[in-house]
Amino acid sequence: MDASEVEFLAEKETVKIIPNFSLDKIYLIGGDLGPFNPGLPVDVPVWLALNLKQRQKCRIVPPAWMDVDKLEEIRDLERKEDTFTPVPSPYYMELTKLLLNFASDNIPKADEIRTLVKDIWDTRIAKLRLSADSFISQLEAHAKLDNLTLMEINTIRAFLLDSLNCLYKLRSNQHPGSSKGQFADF
Amino acid sequence: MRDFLSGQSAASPGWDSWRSRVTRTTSRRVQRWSFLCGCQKGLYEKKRRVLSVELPKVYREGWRTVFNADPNVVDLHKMGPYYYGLGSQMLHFDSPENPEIAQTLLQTFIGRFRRNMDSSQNAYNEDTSALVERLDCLEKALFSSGQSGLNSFQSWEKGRASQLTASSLVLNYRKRKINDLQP
Repeated sequence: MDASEVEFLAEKETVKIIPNFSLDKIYLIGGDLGPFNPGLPVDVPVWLALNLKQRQKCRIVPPAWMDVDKLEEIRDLERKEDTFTPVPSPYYMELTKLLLNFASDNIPKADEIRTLVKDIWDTRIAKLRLSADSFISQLEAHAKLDNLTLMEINTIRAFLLDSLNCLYKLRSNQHPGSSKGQFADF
Repeated sequence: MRDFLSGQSAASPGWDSWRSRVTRTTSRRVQRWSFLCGCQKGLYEKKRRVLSVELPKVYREGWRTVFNADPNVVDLHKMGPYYYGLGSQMLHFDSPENPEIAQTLLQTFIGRFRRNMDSSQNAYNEDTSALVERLDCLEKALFSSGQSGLNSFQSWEKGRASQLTASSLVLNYRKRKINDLQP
């Protein structure tokens, strides 16, 4: 899976906007949207919000978690805990990037928010690598990690799966009767 | 047969890493030959005892102790760029040391895993030749898959994932006029 595919999936999340036009309810295959009245907040998917924003037809309201104090709390909690803490949104990284790129004028303290989200991301990736390493070094067969987001999984997926394949082949060398082809061919 | 095999290995030097020493006992004299590993598997048979195989020194007791002590210090590229692959193939030949060899291969991989993961996932947009030169071929493949994951994430974060770039095929034709029109 590519990072842009994960971003595509993230664009389905809803965000609140304040339109400056009026439109009746629209009926799309994915669901109904609207009606749009100027000055009244309405929930729309991110892809529509960004499109309207680029056409200067709305103002985006930042999500509740996109606030400096809240993100600082989340970052400190993440640094304290050994396991992964619940994330503010399953697509926090993608939403941060999209909203801060296209709607930074609607979001107060955009640079600080960007830095805080990057810190949270770095901490979580470091924890992910640590648990991958302990998974491999202890030759576990099964691991469970809660509260991981798709983007984090995506960055490590290729490497981890290839390593686990190699590890499996090396382990099956030790038990020659248990695998079909007797010894591994690399 | 001997000339045929030695001629063949000279013509394809890439197979050198797959050779291992073979001791062929005959009733009259002992000859040491280098065979391709694939040929050996066919010739090797427990019952007839046509061939017996001598382990390359990397898989013997002395080097095994080094690997068990600290696998990170070893230059696996110098030790035979196909350390894991050849080691797995050597296990075909029923040496009494097989369990120890298999264990050492596994533990070496595990010991080096952390460093390989960190270097492949952190080295962005820099010269990685120093990191890669001491890796076995298997580890190099893992390194490149780690790098591809990192590069794809970083290019997405920079916004380069959604930028249109000209294909290298088109650039090679050198027929594009747009570069002349636009400064």
